[in-house]
Amino acid sequence: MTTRYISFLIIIGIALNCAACGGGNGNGQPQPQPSEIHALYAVDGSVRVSAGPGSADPSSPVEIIGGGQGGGSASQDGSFSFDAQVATGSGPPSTLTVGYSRSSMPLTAIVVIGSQSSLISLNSFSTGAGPNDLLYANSSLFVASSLDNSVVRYGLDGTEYASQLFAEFSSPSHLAADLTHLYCVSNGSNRLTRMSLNDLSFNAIQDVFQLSDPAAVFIGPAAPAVYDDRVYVPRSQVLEFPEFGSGDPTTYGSGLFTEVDFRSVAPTGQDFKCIGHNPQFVAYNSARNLLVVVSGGELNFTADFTPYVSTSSYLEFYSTGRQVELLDSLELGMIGAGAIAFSGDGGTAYLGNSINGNLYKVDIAGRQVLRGESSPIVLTAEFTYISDVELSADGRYLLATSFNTDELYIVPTATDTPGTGPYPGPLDMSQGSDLLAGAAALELDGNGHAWVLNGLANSVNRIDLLP
Amino acid sequence: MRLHLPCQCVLLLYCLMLSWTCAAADDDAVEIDLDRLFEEEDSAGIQLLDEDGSTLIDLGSSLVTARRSLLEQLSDYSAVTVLDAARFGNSHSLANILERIPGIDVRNLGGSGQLSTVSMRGASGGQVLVLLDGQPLSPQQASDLSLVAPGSLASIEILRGPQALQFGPGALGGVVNLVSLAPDASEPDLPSYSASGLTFKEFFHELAMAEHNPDDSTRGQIMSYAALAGSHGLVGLELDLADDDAVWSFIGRSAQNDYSYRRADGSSSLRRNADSSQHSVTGTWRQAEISYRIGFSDLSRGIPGSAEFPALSARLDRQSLWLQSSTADRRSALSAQFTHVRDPHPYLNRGKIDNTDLLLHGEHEVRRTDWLLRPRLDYADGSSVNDRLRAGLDYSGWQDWDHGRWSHSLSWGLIASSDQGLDPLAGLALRREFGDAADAYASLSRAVRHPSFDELYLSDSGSLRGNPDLATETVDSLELGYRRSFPSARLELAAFYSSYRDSIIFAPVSAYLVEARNTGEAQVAGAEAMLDWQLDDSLWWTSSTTWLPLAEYENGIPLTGRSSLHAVSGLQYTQADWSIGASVDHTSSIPADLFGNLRTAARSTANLEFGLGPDDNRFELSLHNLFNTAARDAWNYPLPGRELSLTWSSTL
Repeated sequence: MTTRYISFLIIIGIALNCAACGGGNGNGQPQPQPSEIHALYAVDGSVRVSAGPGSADPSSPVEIIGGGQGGGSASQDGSFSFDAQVATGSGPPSTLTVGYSRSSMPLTAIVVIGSQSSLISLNSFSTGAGPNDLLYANSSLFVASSLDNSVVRYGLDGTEYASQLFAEFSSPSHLAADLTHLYCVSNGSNRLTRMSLNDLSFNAIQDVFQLSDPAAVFIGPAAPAVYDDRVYVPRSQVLEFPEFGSGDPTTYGSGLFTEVDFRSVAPTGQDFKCIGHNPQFVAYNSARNLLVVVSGGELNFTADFTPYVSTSSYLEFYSTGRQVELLDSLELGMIGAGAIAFSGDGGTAYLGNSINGNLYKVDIAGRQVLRGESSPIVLTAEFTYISDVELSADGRYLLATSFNTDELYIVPTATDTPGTGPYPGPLDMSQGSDLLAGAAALELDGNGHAWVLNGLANSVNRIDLLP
Repeated sequence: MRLHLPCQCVLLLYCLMLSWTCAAADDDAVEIDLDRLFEEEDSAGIQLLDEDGSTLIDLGSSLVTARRSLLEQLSDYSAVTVLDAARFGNSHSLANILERIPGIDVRNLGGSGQLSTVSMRGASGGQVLVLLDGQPLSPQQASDLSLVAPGSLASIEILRGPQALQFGPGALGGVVNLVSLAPDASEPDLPSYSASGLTFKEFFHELAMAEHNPDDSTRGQIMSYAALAGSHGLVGLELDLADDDAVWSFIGRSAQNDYSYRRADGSSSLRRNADSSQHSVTGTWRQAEISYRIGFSDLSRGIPGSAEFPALSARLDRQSLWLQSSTADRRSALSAQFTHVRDPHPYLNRGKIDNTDLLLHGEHEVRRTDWLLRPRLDYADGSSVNDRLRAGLDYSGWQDWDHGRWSHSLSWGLIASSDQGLDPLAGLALRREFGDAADAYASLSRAVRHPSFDELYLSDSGSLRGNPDLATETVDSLELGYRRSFPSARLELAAFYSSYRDSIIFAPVSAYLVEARNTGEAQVAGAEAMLDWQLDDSLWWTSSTTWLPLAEYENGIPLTGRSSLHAVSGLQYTQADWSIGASVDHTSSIPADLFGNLRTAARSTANLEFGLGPDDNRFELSLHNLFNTAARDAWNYPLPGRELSLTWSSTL
């Protein structure tokens, strides 16, 4: 009796499942679900049609069968992306009909054509004055604002949960976090402060480390990395500034980074000399258990305030054991290397820079430059710098913010070619004004959103990424 | 620094302008027969005629002659407020005085001696012209109110709304004319219509009576001094020497300004490197029909705000020189400003600043009953710009028509600059009297402002840079006003709408540079009200409110630094030997960045002023922000909280 009852339930379950699948095809086989296909208008009026892995049979044709013309073929992972020309007879259509095949079944999907701007929530929330860094941790967004000297913990809806105000001119500028603490570098007061990730509280003795160097007119502590209660802070070490607008170079000292150890009652520090000059980023490569120091080289400005570098950039690889030791280094050339992002396996890194709109790619495992000074990934030829880079969790997309053009680039790592993939062009981060908003720090929350900090507009934008 | 224009040339230029003024004075001297004026008091549009019947001068200009001011003439069609020294005598801060006027927001970037600019009816500080006896206070666009000590002023005249037709390309939002103490003239001290609280006819009666009962006493040699001390290390000394022929004033002030202030979270913090030191000498004298004024000011000021550096050392040193001669209808003026800005630690790490710049501005104004012509020259040289000369010419004409209770006015003009081209201006105004005690007016105008030299070329601090490609600012304005005089009170109401195009702001153009640039269209609309009520012989109650519901760019982003509501109310009680004044000031939240994402919190402050003793031997106490509220300025910088000052003044 029991067996018959269970069999009956299984039959009912299969029937319900088939109904949910859209019915059978007459031979009892379920039809595949329609793929999630996206269509976004490009600047030139064409439409970028795309879908993620598994959407279509590998190498199968995909074509527009209604509302326009065009087509392409799916890649080996079943994703596809191509440009379609829409029919313009009685105005541009609002939908496209896409024909493709999956599991050898011919399928059609009616896709609503959208715009990239509909993915962006401009000014999702406002920040303090002069925000310099954004960090996603513990389901919250943390913002360090250098002009009002605040660090604030926001909910993803912009609700302010906790804040910490530092002394005037402290200029909190860079953030890092581990599971329990938020670490804030202040490049005005030259302090590193460890705070509770929950309420941002700290103890003035146990949680504050003062960097000092009487020889430097600007220590310039920058983006730190955290590993095992130790924080690694890179330092610019400017010894003398030139006359403003003279075009003369800045005098830099030897590049340093400081290991600040919070494992004892009061933090202690130890300096390490870098190979390159003007280190601006330290990143922890967890997959390879490496500390990677990015030295951008000596950054200078011409008389008309155009930035240039006069020494090579370096990647320096350090061990994370009891004693930090230099393992290896890689010269990158005069690229002004900046923000760094690692692939999931830690074997590849992408680098932003401080002087132009290029990206660079490095093979961490092989210690070699893949896309270097002579063959960069050119995001834009306009005057800008790439303020931050991030890799999506699945490693398929590289995201990069361009400060002086207010743009977010989303580049498929399969091609490393801007303008390919689901997004036909860069996403406009400007604030509906012709004033520069200053797309600065970039974070991904793992729930399909990118968050961009507008360093001049004092706000954060949310971008709903395509699945 | 390379100065290609020798000082001799500067003086030569001024002497040429001066000789022009003197020659004109001989030919065009104007005399006013107040008896005749009194006889014709029934005529609203009084004119004085010479023998052959041609117009010599109208009533407005005759008052202009006596008080070196245009405002009485312009008050028919504009909102005008005149404050005589008696109404602001207890305050040592020009900013605090102007904040009481409807339509005005003052932006203080710190305490005593720090930069202080005035915004009017939503116009920026750069769009408001501040004059000292008719001469621009600074060759730079946004005038610094902290440079002027109220003790050296006889009155302050505020004209709200565009006035480029009368005052040239800087007066888009309004004009503040500071009238300095003048030597006692042979003419009686004519009362001010706007300040009198009288009806038009009553005012003329007073005017004529002044002539019938002249004050024959002579002033003789009078020396007075005032010593000032206050919070934040404020100390000052003012000496005045006056006789029938000349007034000389010396003012020295310094303030440490390393003040602690209360932060938004209730904690306190320290603001450093905001010290200032200022010395100035001004002299005014009269020979025959010509008034002369010379002024020299030396300012040294720390500049706080390089946020990346705790040990700030930015500093501005500025020497300014003013020379002016004026007659009834001509005025020649030359001003020079030498600025030295040092900042070895600039924001964003682009190199230490050590800039020296010289700015010269000269103008010669010829004003007749129905037109004016003002050629002007600007010259700049220094670290920011090499040997740059700009010639300009302002011309405007106007015509009034009277039709009993109705009158209207038409004005037109041109503003030309050698590097900006030529732009037309126009204005149309209508006025109606209601009985003897009230009138209403409406005006429509187009005004333009050519970019100033500092906006075009100078980069005097931080990462600022001028922009030679700037376009001309334009504003179209509509204003409606109503005024009514009561036996012991005066009520002024005005509503305004302005549409701006190509307003000039300093905005980041890259991560490394802030540059002057034009914005798109912006609109401002609001209303203002002022009630000045003499409750009894000793007690005045003055209230003003400015409501600015619309102040935004075409894309909806609010204009920075404008408060949507600003209200001030104060009582002043005056007895022979003592006086006391109290006021409250409420300013609503202010957009504090270019995108409207940052806003200051609304603030309410209470102020108290107390004076003891007769005018010639007086002790004064001024307490600003009595309850030490956590006030922020328009850029969200903390303000110093409670400020106290004590003044002892005596006449020998």
